[in-house]
Amino acid sequence: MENTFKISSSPHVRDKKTTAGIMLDVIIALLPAAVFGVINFKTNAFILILTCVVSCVFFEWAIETILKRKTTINDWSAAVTGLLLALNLSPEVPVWMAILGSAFAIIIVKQLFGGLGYNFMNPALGARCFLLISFTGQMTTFTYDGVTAATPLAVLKSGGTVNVSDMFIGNTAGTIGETSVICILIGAIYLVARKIIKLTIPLTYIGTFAVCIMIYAVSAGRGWDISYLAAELCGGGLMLGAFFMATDYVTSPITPNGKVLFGMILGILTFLFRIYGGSAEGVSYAIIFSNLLVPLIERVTQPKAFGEGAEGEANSGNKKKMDVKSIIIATVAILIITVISGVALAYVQKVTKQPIADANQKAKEEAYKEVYADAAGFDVLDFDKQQASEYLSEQGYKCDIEEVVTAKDQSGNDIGYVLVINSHEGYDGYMQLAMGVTKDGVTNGISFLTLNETAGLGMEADTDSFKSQFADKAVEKFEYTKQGASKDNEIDALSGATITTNGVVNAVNAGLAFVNELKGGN
Amino acid sequence: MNKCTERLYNGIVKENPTFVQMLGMCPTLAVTSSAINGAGMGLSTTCILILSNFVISLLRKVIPDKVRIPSFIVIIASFVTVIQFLMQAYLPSLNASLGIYIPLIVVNCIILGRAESYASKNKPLPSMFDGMGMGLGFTIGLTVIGAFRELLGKGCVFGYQILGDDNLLQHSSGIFKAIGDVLGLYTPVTIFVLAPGAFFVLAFIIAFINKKTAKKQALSDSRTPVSCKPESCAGCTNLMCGGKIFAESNENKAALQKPLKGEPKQEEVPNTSAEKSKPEEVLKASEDESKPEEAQKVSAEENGFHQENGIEIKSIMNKIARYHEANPGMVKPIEVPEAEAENVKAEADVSVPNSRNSRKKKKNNGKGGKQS
Repeated sequence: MENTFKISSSPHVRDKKTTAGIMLDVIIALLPAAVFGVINFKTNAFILILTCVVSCVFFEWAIETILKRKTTINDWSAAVTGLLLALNLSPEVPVWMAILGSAFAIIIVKQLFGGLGYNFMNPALGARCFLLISFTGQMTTFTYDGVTAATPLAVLKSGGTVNVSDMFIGNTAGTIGETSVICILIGAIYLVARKIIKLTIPLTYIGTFAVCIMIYAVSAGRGWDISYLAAELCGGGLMLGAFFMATDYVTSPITPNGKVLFGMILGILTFLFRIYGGSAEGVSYAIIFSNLLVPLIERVTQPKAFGEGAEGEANSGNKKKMDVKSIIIATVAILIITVISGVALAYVQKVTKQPIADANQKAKEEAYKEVYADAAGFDVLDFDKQQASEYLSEQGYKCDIEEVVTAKDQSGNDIGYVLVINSHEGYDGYMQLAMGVTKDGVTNGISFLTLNETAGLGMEADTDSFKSQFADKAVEKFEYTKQGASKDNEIDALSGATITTNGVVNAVNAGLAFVNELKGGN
Repeated sequence: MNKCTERLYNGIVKENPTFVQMLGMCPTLAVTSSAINGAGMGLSTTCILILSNFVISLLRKVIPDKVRIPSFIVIIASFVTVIQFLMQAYLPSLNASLGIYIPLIVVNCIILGRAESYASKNKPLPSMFDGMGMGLGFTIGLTVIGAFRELLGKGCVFGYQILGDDNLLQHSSGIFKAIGDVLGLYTPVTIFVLAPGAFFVLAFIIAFINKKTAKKQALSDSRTPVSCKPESCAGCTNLMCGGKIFAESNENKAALQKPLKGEPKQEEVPNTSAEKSKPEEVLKASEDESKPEEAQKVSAEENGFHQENGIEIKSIMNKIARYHEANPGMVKPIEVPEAEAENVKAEADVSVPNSRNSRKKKKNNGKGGKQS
């Protein structure tokens, strides 16, 4: 009797597919895109693909040896990670960066969390975002036919027009594997035919994204612009991400409703990142962000077993009440403590009020001095703040003038102005800068009084190499460029911090416009 | 060791707030984008910690227990505000670099944590030293994290360029310049000065420290018998315990199942008479009471073992038995009038203490107990 039943935990029925078989199928499905990438971007692409695959497999072997785990390089999963990572890199990326990315993908994202099946995030995309954040400049430099070119999405974002049929075939700039939509679709069809992936996630993803884009296009006054929609769909990593990375078994939900929810979240996030984000592309961030949401999604969408939840758990709410006496004692005690602290604070405030004001004044004068070194003294100039803001918003600037002082030379003559400008165009919203302008309209220099940009990117605005670009230039209006400043009025944009650059340049221009207006006598 | 120096050692090494207690993670992750930022945050926290610990310790008998947390917060917030005013007035340059972190100190859980767990129970002087130790431990933690992040993300430490272009060694000559040129090849990895970098660095430092302490722990485990304080784990401040409890409960389990064979483990004891007498004693005790479990319970408590499942289940079973005796009309789910049967049952449960079955049983029994 005992031998009649096989006693084991589920699953009892197993598929014939193996991990290695599935991974091989994925590699085969990625081959068209990879081959197209090599044709498109020549040797660079080939070297990068080879480097990524080899180093991913090597790191997988190495870390598993060090951690004394079973070596799993035979299941091809490391090779898939390497291939996906390579397809997500710009062809201009140096080889060492590809190796660093592979190490990050395999060691940090995959193996430290337990290896295949335990990684919380798609390793290839994790590595791509790691590199993207670390080396923004190199990761977002794209070339086509040996010439630096903007990706179609970047062109689209800055208001240009793109050729959709080129994008569909893949004759555009971009990462190695993302350009050719048709090659990706061929691979996707293969995967679907082999039943490796289901279409739920890709279709809900692309569908949600398309709906969002159409709503945006209509509300932004573009109307039912099908070519815009097609460009957004074919551009960037959307197709590659939707079919090959959002469908990753480990990092996508297993519940049917969860898959739909996952796809919708992906679509909405990609839309938000692309349209309202700082960069033109948002697929990789959307996917890794949604990867993190998967445990929550699964929890929400977990199917209920029959009869589950019928038995409600009753809460026994017997709170102990404090008696009146202890309430009074507690109230009095905390009152006394608060009053004493209040009095102490008031005293300290009174004592330090004047020194604080002095220190602030001194700091301000130092800031003035920094942007107007020639001045011997400064005088506060009265002006109508309201009127100034109105004037600037008429000119199209989103800045306010906080303070204006006139700079005086030794003999007391006015030689120029120092402005303190509040701008709300920084990446973090608010920034305050001081600038000195001579009467002849020469910008003496700028300095930041408040700057809360991203460390390493926007914060680079507060370096001499950036600020000195404004100094001693008789320019009416500055412009920023990403192609290397060649003219007097051009400012090199901070790499990876275009919004900050834009904010600073606009604030300076607003200051210059205001000084012009001041000189005009208003 | 003197109590004050003991407090310093405790704060800096043994219970380091950043690496051991994992307290104050918000400032740890947010402000450590450079070594100097970390040091500044740490030192300002130290100041506040010393002052607030001192005052709270002075007032520890005055503050009513029920409103102690709001009182502590008021005191801490007042000190933070006072320090901020003073810095603005008399140290404007320090304020310029640290000013934005000062208000953050109010919500730093280390300060409230020390007030609650140490200052409110101890005398002012040790409390001040406790604050100093914790503050310095925090400072060291933040500075180390900040230094690593700055080095990897910008190539410098405390603002001195060490890696990457234009580093210090490149300005020297000879062999140092050659080294400097090699270091100059480094490209700063910006992510380390951004928020994610804080997580990477913190995780690796803690992993490293845990590995070190785990080795040390294993070494000391093999020398001295493991024991915890008789209090439960909840009140235990030894956060490095981790594997210790596990090892202990395993040992305990072995002892429960084979009480007599468990004893010869103490062979290392040099006194041969003790070696002989001990097993006999246990044997005797178990024979006398004809309840081997009782003996195990006693020995377990003697060794300071945590309560094991078996003992807990046994007491619950006893309760149920008593309940059924008192209410003979009730349905009896399990027949447990005999002590023998009880033991067998409990042992069966103990042998699979973590299986779902035993947990379920415990839960059910617990409910039964509550009803009585």
